[in-house]
Amino acid sequence: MSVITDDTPAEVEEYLAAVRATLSDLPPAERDDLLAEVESSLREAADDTGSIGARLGSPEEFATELRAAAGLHESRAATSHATIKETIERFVPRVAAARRVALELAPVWWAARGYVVVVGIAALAQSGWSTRYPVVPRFGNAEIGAAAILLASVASVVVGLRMRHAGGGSYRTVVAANALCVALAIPVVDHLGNSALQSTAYIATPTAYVQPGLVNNGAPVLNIYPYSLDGKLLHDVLLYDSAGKAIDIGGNPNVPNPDRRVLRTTGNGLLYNAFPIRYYEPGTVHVAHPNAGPPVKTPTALPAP
Amino acid sequence: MAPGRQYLRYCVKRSSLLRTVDRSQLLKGALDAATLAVVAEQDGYGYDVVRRLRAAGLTDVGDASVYGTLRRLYGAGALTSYVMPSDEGPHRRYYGVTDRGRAQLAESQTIWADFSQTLTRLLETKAEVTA
Repeated sequence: MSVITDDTPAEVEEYLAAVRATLSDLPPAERDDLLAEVESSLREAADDTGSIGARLGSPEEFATELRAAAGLHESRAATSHATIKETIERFVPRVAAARRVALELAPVWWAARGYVVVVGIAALAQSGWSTRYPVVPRFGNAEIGAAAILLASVASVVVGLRMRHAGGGSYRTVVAANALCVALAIPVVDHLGNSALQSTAYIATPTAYVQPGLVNNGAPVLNIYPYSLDGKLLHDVLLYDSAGKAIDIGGNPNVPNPDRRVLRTTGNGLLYNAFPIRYYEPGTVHVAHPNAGPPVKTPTALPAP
Repeated sequence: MAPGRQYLRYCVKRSSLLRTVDRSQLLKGALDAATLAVVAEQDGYGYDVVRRLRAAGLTDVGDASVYGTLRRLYGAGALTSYVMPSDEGPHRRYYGVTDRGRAQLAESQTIWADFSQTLTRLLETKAEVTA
């Protein structure tokens, strides 16, 4: 913030700049505020007496007197490590404030500490986790795990309160115990991270994927061509599986293929298990090549036993 | 008389040291009281307070001492401050006395009355002796 106005006499301006330089170790806001007041006074003094230098002495003397009267600390030149000290002093109130907040929130940590200890032990012992609530470990069953967490949290809070009222006990012991809890938290966080992933993951089962239609050793079967022993292609053979269920390929009554030739029953049912499947010429009800089939050379069979 | 001279030197040194400390302390305390009295009479800004102190007889008082004193009394809660626009230049920071400042002033008046009475009595006695 500049406090010097355009019509400030040059002498006052120079004097103020010199005073400002001498007060450079003060916090900027405090220094500006102080100098704003000094400036308006110096302007009037200059108007009254003509020269301010003769009246006020050197800027350094002025600054020293001002500092002493205002009860401000010594300049940096006087105390060599003032900057470090100042920095610490500036931060100490914040450190103290953070400490107060931490002390107020300590019970939250105490409760969390109980959970961390139980779950940490479970994670290290790999005792398993509740399937419904992966945050709860299983000790035999999940109910015992939940009870253990509750018990440990209450015990941890009680210990925390006792330590606080008894004056803390050994500082080193407290720090070491809390550090151990933080270390235990690592496998806990690891587990919780994994369980969060698992809850959204797909569980692969053998029945998860069903290949539609017929499959012959993994290769899809698009049609079936039955032949008689004497090598003749049969038509409209109805096929059933071992359970007596009709073997259909691609037959969907909801999405009928208008070009597929489908036999109908007297009750207006559709026979999708009639093979070979035949297709009409597009737009007609005429099968162009009813005897078309794959190049098959039927073997010569011995007479049946 | 070496030990005697040494003692004498010690006394001189001690008294000069005490004089320096006392004087600065005394002046500081006196300036606080004087500044509070001036501002209590009527609110004023820095240079105004300097002028009024000088007009009252404290002709040697330094400008910087007064600004610093105002600042310190303000920081201690003895003075309140407000900014007023000025026709002649930048805004002026005016100071007024708070309740705490008035209490401090009353205390200073009591201390000063006791001190000055004692000193006056002492000095009058001395004057009679030398006369």
